[in-house]
Amino acid sequence: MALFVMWAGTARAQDETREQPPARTGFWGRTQAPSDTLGAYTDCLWGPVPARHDSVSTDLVERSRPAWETAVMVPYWIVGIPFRIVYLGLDQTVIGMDKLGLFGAAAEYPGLKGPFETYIMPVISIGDVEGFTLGLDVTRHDFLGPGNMLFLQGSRSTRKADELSGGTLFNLGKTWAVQIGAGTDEKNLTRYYGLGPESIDGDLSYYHRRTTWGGFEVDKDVGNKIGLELRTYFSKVEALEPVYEIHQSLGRVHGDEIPFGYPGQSNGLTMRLAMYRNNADQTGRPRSGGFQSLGVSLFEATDDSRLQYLTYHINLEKFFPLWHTDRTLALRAFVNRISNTGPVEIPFTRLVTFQRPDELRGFHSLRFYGMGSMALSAEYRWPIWVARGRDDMGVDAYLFSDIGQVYDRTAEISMDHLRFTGGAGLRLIDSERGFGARFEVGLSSEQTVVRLKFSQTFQYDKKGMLYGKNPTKVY
Amino acid sequence: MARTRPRSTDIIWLALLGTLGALLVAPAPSYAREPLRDEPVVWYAHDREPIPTPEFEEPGLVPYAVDSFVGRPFSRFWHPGRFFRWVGTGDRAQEAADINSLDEVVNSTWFTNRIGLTPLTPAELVEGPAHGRDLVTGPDRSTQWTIIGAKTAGVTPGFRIKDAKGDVWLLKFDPPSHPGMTIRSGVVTNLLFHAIGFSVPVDRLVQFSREDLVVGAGAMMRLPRVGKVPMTEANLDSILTATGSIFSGEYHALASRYLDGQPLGPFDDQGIREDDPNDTIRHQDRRELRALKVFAAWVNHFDTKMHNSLDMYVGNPGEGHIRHYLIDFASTLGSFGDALVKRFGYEYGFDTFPIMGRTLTFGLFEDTWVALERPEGLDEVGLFDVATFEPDKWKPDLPHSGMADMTARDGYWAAKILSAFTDEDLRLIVNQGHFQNPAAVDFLVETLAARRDKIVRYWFAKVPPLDFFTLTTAGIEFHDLAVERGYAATGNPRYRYRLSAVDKDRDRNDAGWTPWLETTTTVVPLFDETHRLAEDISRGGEDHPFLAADVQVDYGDGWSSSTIIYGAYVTGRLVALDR
Repeated sequence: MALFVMWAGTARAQDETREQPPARTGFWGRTQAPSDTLGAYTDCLWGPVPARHDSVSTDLVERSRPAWETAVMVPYWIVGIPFRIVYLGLDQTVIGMDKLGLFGAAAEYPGLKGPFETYIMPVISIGDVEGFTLGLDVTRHDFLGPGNMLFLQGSRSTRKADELSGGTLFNLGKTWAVQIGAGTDEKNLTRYYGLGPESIDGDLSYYHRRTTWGGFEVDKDVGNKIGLELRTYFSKVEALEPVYEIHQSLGRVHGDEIPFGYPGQSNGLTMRLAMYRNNADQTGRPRSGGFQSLGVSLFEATDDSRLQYLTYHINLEKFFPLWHTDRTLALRAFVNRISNTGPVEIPFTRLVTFQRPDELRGFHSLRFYGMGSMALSAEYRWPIWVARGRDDMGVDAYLFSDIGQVYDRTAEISMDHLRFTGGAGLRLIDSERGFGARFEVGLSSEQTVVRLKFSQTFQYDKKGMLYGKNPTKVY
Repeated sequence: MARTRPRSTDIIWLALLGTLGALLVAPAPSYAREPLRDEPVVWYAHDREPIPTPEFEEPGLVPYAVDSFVGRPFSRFWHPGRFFRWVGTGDRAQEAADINSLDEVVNSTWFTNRIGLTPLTPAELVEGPAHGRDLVTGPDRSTQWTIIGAKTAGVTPGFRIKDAKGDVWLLKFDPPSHPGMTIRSGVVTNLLFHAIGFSVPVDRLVQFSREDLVVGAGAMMRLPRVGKVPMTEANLDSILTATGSIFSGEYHALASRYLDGQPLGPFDDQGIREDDPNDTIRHQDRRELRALKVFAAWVNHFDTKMHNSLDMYVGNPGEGHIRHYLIDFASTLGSFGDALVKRFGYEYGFDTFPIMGRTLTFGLFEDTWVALERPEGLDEVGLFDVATFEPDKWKPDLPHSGMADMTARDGYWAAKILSAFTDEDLRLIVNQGHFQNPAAVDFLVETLAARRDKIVRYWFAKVPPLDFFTLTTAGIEFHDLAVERGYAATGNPRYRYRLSAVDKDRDRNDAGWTPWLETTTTVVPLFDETHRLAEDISRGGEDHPFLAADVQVDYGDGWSSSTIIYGAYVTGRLVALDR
């Protein structure tokens, strides 16, 4: 009976308390209100909340883990040990790099901040013929003036595929620019399958290619999104016996059809004049517009070979917006053609081949050699990630198909010789450079080629001399 | 016979078998409830014990981001306990550890119950942490403000100033591309979060002229690629000109008062602060940090990284304790520096599953948030809408460990607080942003109210909103928050209840539950007309000293899950509530 009365009495007492007008206390602020009134109410939806005192305070403690969870966690902990060790290493590395201020520097330009206001980007790659390659790219922005640039790169590989090159860019006013570049690279295992469109995959052989070059380029923006480029450079190309894979050397595999210029060397001056028109709305994720280029170059031997030839290049690209945001169809067609204007045969090392940016994805670079090449490319792109927006960092996925061939004579262009490839990839778009990298898998009837490249086949970056790109590879 | 060492595959198989065995013998996931005690309900945490002054510590953004994007989500994803708990209960984590027996967060150095428990006066709402502290108008204006430092890097410039009272304030401006957007959003959200119960600095919108500022002796500023240089009046002129935050000839800025005490760096959303003995529970187990997901979703405060928090050591060295603040609300209500990003609030900065989804669907489907647009003609408002907002799908920019552990009860608790904001409350607070266009105020009030309503409806549908039980002469009265605050599908809900005597472990006596009794009022009648406990209630003896009242509601779509309130027979206290 006493219990019943107690309940009723307590209820009345609470009612009386609730009828009192609320006396608000100050909230936050140690200078204003005594801290023990924080959160205290003479009236609230639960009734009175008393001021802080021991009977209504507690030491907070973690909830204990239920027995069933402990049981299932034991295997998780055991299996997770190697993962935790790996992650601990990664975590501590990142923390260490952060304490060195490396990420703060990376925010301004890509790379880690080095001496003399340079930015350094380590380069690591593993390739089937190059082996393990380790290198560094060093960039100095605003070199000897705002907007100028100095770029140096060097790499060494475990299979003698080494490179040392560099270049500078000087802006002369708003419309003129000069690039100067030089370098040397060496690839012990350079692929050769034979000449012409009918070379076969089984005739893979290797030769040792060594190239040295140096020159300059003058760029002029003539307005209306049109640019002119005049490039002059000296180059020396050597084709030698390989050091590795001797059993598969060019001489052994193609003993009965040794191409002209093997072994041997060729050096000379190249002068190239090109015109570009770039009315694409963006470099990284273009939705509309296009990119066109037209070029002709003249090679004149500086040795006693009397070699002389002209190379023509036409490249047409167009971007079409599709159904949703940033879904784009990119189309490309290109033709390269060599015209021998001298009295001697052109060494195979100077012939046209499918190589960056004129690739036939799904085939290895250098799969075909000929006097000319042509190809059509179609690429459907769609965004899968954007950091902030279209103009920022992001990743696009793409499906592509390339159709093309090499030829010695125009009559060789035929359905029988056309090669079809297809594949898919991811494009990393960088807010600073417009394009970061691509990772793609290309399929053809012969092989599957996986590529990680820091250049794109569309809207190929023209600053070849600055970035120390081997000009004998291109055109 | 040669001994062979176990291979790694053997270890994996062993582990898998161990897991299977553990599952076979383990009971189904369940919550261990605290035993009932006939004691006053706890409302405070003992977390103000004097501690030595901890060291300042601020992890870099990149290591924190790597942890947030990689390590922590990976660990959570593969955590078997989270998986089995999710299968068994729908929640991935145990209930929060800083709640009392009535399922409320206790007052602590992290959180103070405010609008969730009692209405706030207009003055309390609009003055926020400045209330009663002579700080409502911002820095003291009796003399010029002396600039003691400047920040010129980044998107928005700012100054550190000292006023006549010696208080130090940070003056922050808008990016030139969006004058009037971030500073106003910052002030509004600061006040909303204060009313919710978080500790926040005093952030006020101030208007001033060039003559109100003077460059102090020794003021320095940092220039890109040059470093620190002495600041001049000419520097001040050029910085002010570049701000673009000029309205009717006056500069508008957000003045944020430096917090009292000694800064110790931000608090992490996971783990504890090792050098704070008062920090006894993991931060991801704090309900206010879990429910930050709901509060942040409301105002689209996607930038909840740890660097937007600050621990302050309050008190004399050796005698003080740490108070935990949330700071910098400029990236809310749809604003973000000089760029407005549609993705914010809809996906993490790097969100694996949406990325996989987009990859595998070849771009054939468009993301919902792409349709998000700014309100026409309202330059001071960013990307903030109702149509594309889904309360359960909102995400911060960086994954947040507390938010990842939010349970249904945590979400309900947060929604209950939001439901306490009336439209009038919202208008009072939004007005503190001093928006130049009255239509911007109307838009923000309407949008905040509509987003609040979406959130509240979502969580009230998950957890029946029967709350705030009190003992009166009529019996146990309770509030049906859905009805009281306008979220019920029907205006005439039905309730039913049953009663039982239980022991401290909530086990019923032999009589068990009474039959269900229906009512249309929010009262569980316990007493007859003589104020005596009704005869038909099963009485507890010494072994069953608590009365349990199980209440359910039907809004027209069937009976809800139970809300059980426990009272002690001896003292008449309501001691616990189970959902």
